[in-house]
Amino acid sequence: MMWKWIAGALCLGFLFSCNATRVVKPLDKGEWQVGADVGGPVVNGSVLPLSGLHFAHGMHERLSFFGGLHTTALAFQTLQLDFGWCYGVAKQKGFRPGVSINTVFNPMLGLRSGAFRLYPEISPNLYWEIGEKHMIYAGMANWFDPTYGKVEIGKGYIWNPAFQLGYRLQLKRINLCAEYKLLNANKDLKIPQATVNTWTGKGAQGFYISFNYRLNTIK
Amino acid sequence: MKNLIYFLLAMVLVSCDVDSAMLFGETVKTYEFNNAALPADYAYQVDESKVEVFTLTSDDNGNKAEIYCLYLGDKSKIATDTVILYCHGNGPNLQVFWERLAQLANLGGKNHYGILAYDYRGYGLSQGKSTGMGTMLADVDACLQWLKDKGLTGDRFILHGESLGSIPGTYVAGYSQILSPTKYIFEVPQSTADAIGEDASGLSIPSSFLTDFNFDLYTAMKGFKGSLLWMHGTKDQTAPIENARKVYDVFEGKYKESIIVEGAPHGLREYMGIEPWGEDILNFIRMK
Repeated sequence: MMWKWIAGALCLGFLFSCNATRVVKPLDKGEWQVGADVGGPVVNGSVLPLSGLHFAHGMHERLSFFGGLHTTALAFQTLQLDFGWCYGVAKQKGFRPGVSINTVFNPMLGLRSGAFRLYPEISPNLYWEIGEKHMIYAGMANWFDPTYGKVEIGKGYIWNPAFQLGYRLQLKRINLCAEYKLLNANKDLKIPQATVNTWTGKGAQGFYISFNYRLNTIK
Repeated sequence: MKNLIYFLLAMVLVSCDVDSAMLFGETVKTYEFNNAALPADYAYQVDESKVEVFTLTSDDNGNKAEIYCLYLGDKSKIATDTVILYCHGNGPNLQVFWERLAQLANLGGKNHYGILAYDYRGYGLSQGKSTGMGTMLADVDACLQWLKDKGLTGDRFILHGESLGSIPGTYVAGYSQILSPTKYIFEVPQSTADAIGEDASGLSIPSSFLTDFNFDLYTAMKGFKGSLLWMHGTKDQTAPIENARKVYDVFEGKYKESIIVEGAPHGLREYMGIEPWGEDILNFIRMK
């Protein structure tokens, strides 16, 4: 039964939920990171174990490029990618947080039917580095659905906001991240014969873990 | 790098599908379709001599399976009786629907209506595995053909699709070339596969991203020309009422009525009470 409700929930669209924020603070110029992530929304009290692979590259001091492949989605015959840029708006100064904005594109291609969707995303984040190894951050991921009009039955939404709160342990080569997300925070999500609870009564909550490996250390 | 490519290739080849995972069938060792399996004070005890369990061969383009069926009534009178074909919801198997089947059989009098119900593949004792519309339609077609061979005609054929059962039910109502019902009871129904994904994600994600189980009751309902009874609760979290309403609204057949129960969840019969539930169905069946 465990697999049944997991897969059942997956099939209901949660497979395409967000991932942990790829980059919060722009990487050093020339830096490369690769990594893997796992996690997903909580359904029936358990986290759906969705997986992905990703990379990030510091293009210059304020701008990083990143991308990811959602491997669980791939196993379900949907090629889901994400790619985007993290732009550093302001650096941290004391208690004043650093500010960054991620502009992301989330394309999905159904390998069964050829159906295609593209969801642009804009995600501002605030971050506080505590010493050299620790970072906490908070942000808001805004997914936009330009094809919301294709929803024939049910409700289409052009704006799909999520809120995230995360922690990063930044070691010399390894960067570990744990993130909590409140997904689709403005709507009621319904899954047949499954329960999606949040403390706000709206949307779903997700937990994500991300592992990043620095291929080169610049500093 | 080579390992990564192999891994990604393997993920594609895994070709997961959630067809069967959406269908919560469970096997049983045996069915107990008798009065002992009904509540002791149950008003709808059956004539046990009119209970028969048998199998039919369901053929999904060569993918054959024996499905288990229950007939409540006198099989020799199918050519003259009014018969209800009951397509059950996404419970584990037909056994859990025994109470309501006994009630349906006794609406209007002792064993008044003939009832045919069946377990989908992978449910109860039915063989095989339900994998989506192909197997579900093959299963219900086997039942329709059996009823037709016994002499049932459309004017005495009542169809009842409950929740998951509304999927094969509505396809029968809208498209069947074997037997078309004169009346259709559309109880806590689903709507479209896409709508389920959209309600879960909030995004316009097509069901084909994850499954071949692509059903569309909105379109199927347009083809039904008989009479329709829609029963739903306003607090249904499993089959949202607003989606079902769109399917109901698109119906342009002979007659339609809706029974909307304020505050009722997906378990409509239990919430509204079995007597009112039965009376509403009986009134609909008897309506000229």
